[in-house]
Amino acid sequence: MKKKVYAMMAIVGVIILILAGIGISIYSYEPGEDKAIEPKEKLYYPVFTEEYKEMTINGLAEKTYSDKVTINGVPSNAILTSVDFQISWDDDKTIGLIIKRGEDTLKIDITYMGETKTKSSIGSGSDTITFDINNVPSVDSIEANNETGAKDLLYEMLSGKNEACFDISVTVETGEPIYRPIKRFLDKGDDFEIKVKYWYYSVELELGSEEDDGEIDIPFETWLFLILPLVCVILATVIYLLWERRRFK
Amino acid sequence: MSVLILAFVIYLIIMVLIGIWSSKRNKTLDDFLIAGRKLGTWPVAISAQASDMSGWLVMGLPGRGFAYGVGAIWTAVGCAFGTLFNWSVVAKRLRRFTEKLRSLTIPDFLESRYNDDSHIIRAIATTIITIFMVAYVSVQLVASGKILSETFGWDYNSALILGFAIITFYTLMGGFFAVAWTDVFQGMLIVGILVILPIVGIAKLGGIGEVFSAAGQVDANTLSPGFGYAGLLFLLFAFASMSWIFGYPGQPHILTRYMAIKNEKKLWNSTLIGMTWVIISLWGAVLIGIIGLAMFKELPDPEKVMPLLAMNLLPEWAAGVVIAAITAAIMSTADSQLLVATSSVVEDVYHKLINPDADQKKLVLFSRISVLLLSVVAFILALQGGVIYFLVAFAWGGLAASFGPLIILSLWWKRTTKWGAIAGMISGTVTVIIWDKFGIAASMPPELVVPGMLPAFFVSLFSIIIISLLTKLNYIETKKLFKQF
Repeated sequence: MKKKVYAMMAIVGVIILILAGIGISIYSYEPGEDKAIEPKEKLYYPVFTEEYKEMTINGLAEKTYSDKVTINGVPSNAILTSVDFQISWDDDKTIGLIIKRGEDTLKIDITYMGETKTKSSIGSGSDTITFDINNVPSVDSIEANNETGAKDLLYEMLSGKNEACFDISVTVETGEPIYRPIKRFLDKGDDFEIKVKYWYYSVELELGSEEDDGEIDIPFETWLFLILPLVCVILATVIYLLWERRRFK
Repeated sequence: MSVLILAFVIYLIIMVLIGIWSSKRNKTLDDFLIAGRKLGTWPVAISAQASDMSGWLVMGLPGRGFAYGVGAIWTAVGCAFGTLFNWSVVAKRLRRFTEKLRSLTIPDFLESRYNDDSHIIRAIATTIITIFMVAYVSVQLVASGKILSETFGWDYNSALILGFAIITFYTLMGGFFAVAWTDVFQGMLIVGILVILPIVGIAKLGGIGEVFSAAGQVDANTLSPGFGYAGLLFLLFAFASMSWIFGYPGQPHILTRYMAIKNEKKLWNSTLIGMTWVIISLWGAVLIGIIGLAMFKELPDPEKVMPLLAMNLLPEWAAGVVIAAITAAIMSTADSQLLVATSSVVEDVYHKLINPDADQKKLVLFSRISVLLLSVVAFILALQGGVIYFLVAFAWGGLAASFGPLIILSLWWKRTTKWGAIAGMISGTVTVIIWDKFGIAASMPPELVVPGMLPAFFVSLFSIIIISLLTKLNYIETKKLFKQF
């Protein structure tokens, strides 16, 4: 009878265990709302450094010169902020020292994102057209668990802001200083040079210094309170045990 | 996740195997209720501490550390000195008295101590124990529901059912032997985790200074021993936090450990082991709370800080062990309390009052049925949930006020009378219920609320003294009893 009772209890126990095991395994791990709690985040500070690069486009404007210019020399995790186009040219076919005759007129149109800026000059020129592309993000600090996390957040903000594409059109209206019946000797246009200077900000992350992180001085009483009661409890226990041992002897 | 589940299931299997192994050792009611007074040094030492600390140690106290920082150390100090008080003042004398009076339970002891043929003391003590112990078990089930739901993403009620099933099963199977030996296993697991987790957390955050600094940034008061309070409010904060100390002599589930030791000379070693365990565990639990504050800043439920910390800091399998340890802390107390409540019903009511001639087999069977019924009641109570720290404070406080002063005076003051004992139990219980349930201190911030156990303890103490002095003592009987010690 007794053995039967034990056997039955053992069977009940095993059944409970199996049911518990099945129950646990069929539940998938779905974190609740309060599960999404991350460890405390640190403060990272982005430090932006301004840099620039240059490129040169040389061309000959015969009536009209058209080109597409893509600025793609900016590092992937930097932000392109502005582009300067400086066009220089000089009419090579004029006559006259004081009053020049037959001067060409050169017009440059640059279009970016539907906005067109124009400059024109007669005889020669050195004009600059500037486009502001992006603003530097106004991020003072980034909270993240680690540097990789902070970089991910920052790069997400900068994503796709490192290039720009421009349509350039240079048109020349030629002037003839003298009458030239033979077409071959007519003014063919002008050489020009466009210096493209683009500015960008590269970024580095700095972990907040201890002071910046608001680190506070731990009061002496905190350390004392951590240790002193512990020492008292241990001391009281030791004293009691020694006293008790002596009593037994 | 699978590794985490595996670690947890292995733990559960070990618990049930201990239950099955122990079940063969329960031949008599003595065996079932106090292991036939055959327990050795380690089971008594670890079992007393693990039963004492409960889910409160791994959820309530870290939650307190999270909320009040180093101020939570006051609670640790109160518990540590309370434990030392029990080992030094109560344990040996209670062991002697209960052996001499052949008492298996606390009501048994009180009835014999006061020669109460009317059984009034037994009836009152049994009622109080059953009410507060079932409430206490329900708190443990709440804790198990919280931890299992947090870990496995279950809803609270499903988690509660699993906790209920496991605890009930091995207590029902193994009785005191199972409870004591599972406590040893669970106690070692708990103390191990309470050492390892703070070390890993401190290392991860870059040192203890970094931990305090980060915690101080969240709330500078957490670095202050008085949680920012000064003067009288500081004293109130410290005193309210330490008030747990008054509860120790009145906890039947701890006191029965002292009664179960094989011989009283083993108590010296048990004290050493028990105090070492308790000091490490308490300070570890507070540190875990502070580390959690430094890492998470805020949590919807601060009492879940330990499992969250484990899952964030440790590899999956180790987190599984931590979850097992937390469950261990809960189970080790719930099973002991379930057993004490059972002993009240079976030994104190059925055996002593209704059927004194019942045979041992029948009594053991009745005990098992009682375990099942009482745990069902606790389960129903646990469905409401709640904050573990304060739920424990209520149940602990009820027992503390009802039995604490009475046990001390019964063991040490000859002049205590039966009517003094009755007055102490009733006044303590009534005070704690009125204080906690009817919101005497409800307008105060929670950290300044003095738990009912503190006023109730003194009300009970003075009631016993005053009524004892006013009533007649059976001097010859008492003198004879005390002469033997």
